[in-house]
Amino acid sequence: MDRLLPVISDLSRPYWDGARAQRLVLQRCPECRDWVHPPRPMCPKCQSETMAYEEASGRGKVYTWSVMYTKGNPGFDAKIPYATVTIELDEQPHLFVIGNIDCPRDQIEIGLPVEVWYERVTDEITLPQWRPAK
Amino acid sequence: MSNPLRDKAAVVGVGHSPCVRDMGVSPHVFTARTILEALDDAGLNPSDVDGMCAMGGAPEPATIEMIETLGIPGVTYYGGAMGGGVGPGLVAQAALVVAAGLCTTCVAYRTMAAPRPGDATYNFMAREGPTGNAAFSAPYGQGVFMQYFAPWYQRKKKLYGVKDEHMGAYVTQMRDNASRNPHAALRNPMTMEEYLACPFVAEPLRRYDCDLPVDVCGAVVVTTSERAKDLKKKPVYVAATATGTGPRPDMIFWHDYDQSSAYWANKVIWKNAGMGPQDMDFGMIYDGFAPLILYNLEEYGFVPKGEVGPWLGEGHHRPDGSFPLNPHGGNNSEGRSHAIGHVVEAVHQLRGEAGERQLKKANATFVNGGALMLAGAIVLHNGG
Repeated sequence: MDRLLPVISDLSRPYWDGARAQRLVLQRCPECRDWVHPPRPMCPKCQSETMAYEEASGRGKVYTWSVMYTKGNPGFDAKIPYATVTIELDEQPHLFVIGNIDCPRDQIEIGLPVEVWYERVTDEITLPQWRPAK
Repeated sequence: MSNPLRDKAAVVGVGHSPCVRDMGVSPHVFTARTILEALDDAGLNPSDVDGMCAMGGAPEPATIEMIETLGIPGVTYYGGAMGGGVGPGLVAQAALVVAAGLCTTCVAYRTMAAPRPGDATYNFMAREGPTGNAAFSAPYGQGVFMQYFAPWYQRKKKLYGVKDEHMGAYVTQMRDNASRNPHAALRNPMTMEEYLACPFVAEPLRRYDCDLPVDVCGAVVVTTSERAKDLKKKPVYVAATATGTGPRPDMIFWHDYDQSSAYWANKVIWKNAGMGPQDMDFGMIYDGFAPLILYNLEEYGFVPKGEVGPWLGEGHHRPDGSFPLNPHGGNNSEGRSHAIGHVVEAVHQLRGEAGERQLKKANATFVNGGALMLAGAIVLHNGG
C-alpha cells in the first residue's frame, strides 16, 4: 500500500498549492498576525473569520522526534526504522509542523536548526520536508 | 469556604472483570456481569440505579443498552463521553451528578476489548485519505497512536534527565505488583535486564512501556454519602474531582509538550479537596503508556518538576516506598482499562480489602486518568 496522501479541503488548499510551487505557505491571521497550523476556520487567538495564507521562512528547529519501529503506516513499513520530527518554526514559538528529516539518525537532536525542502509525491501533492540548515 | 460538593458523594460498590485476551462472552455480557458485581458489592439491585455514565462507543455497550439488559427501570441522568480521559473522568462525573442531586445512585463503567482478527487495532489511527490534523502528519508515516506520545517522551528524556533505567524501575515494579493481583494480565516478574533489552515500538517508547489490550470491564457505583452509611461496605468518599484539557485538540499539534492537560485539573483539585499531594498515602497514577506517570507525578505536585526520573530510580513508588504507586500493577501490567482499574484498586485499598497487595497506610488517595491532552482526577478517602 502506498503512503497516505492528504485530502485537500477548501481550507487547506493554499497550503498544498504552495507546497507544489515549492513554497511553505501557512495560515496567518490578517488581523492579529498570529500564524496557525494546521489550518483552522477561525483564528484561535482573535476569533477572526477571515483567515489568510502567507509564505513562511522555511526555517526552524527540531522540537522533538521519534523513530518508528512498528508496522502500520501505509507505505512506510519498508523504511523501518525511520524518524519523524516535530519542527518548531522560526516564525512563532510552538508553531509546529511534522515531517521527516534528511540526515543520519545520530545527527538528530532537539534544537537542531533545519530548513525546508520539497518532496514531490504526485502531480497534485508535494510534501514539505526537512534537513539540517546549511 | 470549602467546596460545597466535597464529600457529598461516595463510592459504595466496585466490580472488575479479569483482564484477558478473550473473555469467552461478548463485551455486552461481561459488562453486565461486572455492573451486577459492583451493585452486589454495594448491597444494591439494578432497580436502585437512577444514573449511568459511560462512553459507550463499540465495543463498549451504551448506557441505554445496559439499562435494558440489567432491567433498570429508567434513569434521571445518563452521561459520558471523553471528558476526563475515561475511567476516573466517568467516576468524577458520576460523583458530581450525585452530589448535585441529578440522581441518587449512579453507575460508571468502562469496557475495553482486545482486538479480534480482522479488527482495525486500537492503536492504529492512520486511515486512507487523512483529513484535518492527520493530513499534516500521516503522510510522513506518523499516524499510529504510539507516535502521538513517543515524541513527548523523547523530549522529556532529553531535557529532564529521565533515563531508561528510571522507567525500568517503574515497569519492573508494576510487574511485581501485578503478581499479587489475580485479575492482572501480566503476572510474570521482569528484570531490569529484560526491560532494557525490550525492543522499541517507537523510540524511545518500548513495547513493555505500552499496556496490553485486553477484554476488561470495571464498574463503580456512586451514591450520596448520606445513603452510603447504610450500605454493605465502608464508604469511600469523593473529596474532589477535576477534569481538564488545554488549548489545542491534538497531541501532535499540542501547544507545549512540557505542559500536559493535568496542569488544568491540578489548578482546582487540591483546593476543592481540602487536601494536598502530601496528604495522599499512595497514588493511583495513570500509566497506559508507562512514561505518562512522569507527567502526572510532576503536574499534580507529587514530585518537583525535573526530578521524577531519579525519584523512580530511588524506588519511592514501591509498596514499601515513600509514595507507593499502583499496587495492582497499573494499566501497564494489569491490562488496558483506561484507568477504571485504578479506581477499583483505590477502593479496595481504602477499604483494606486488597489482600496480599494491601498497603500499610491507605486512608486517602489520588486517582487520575487520561493523559497529555485529556485529564481526569479524583481524590478519595475512607474518612480515616
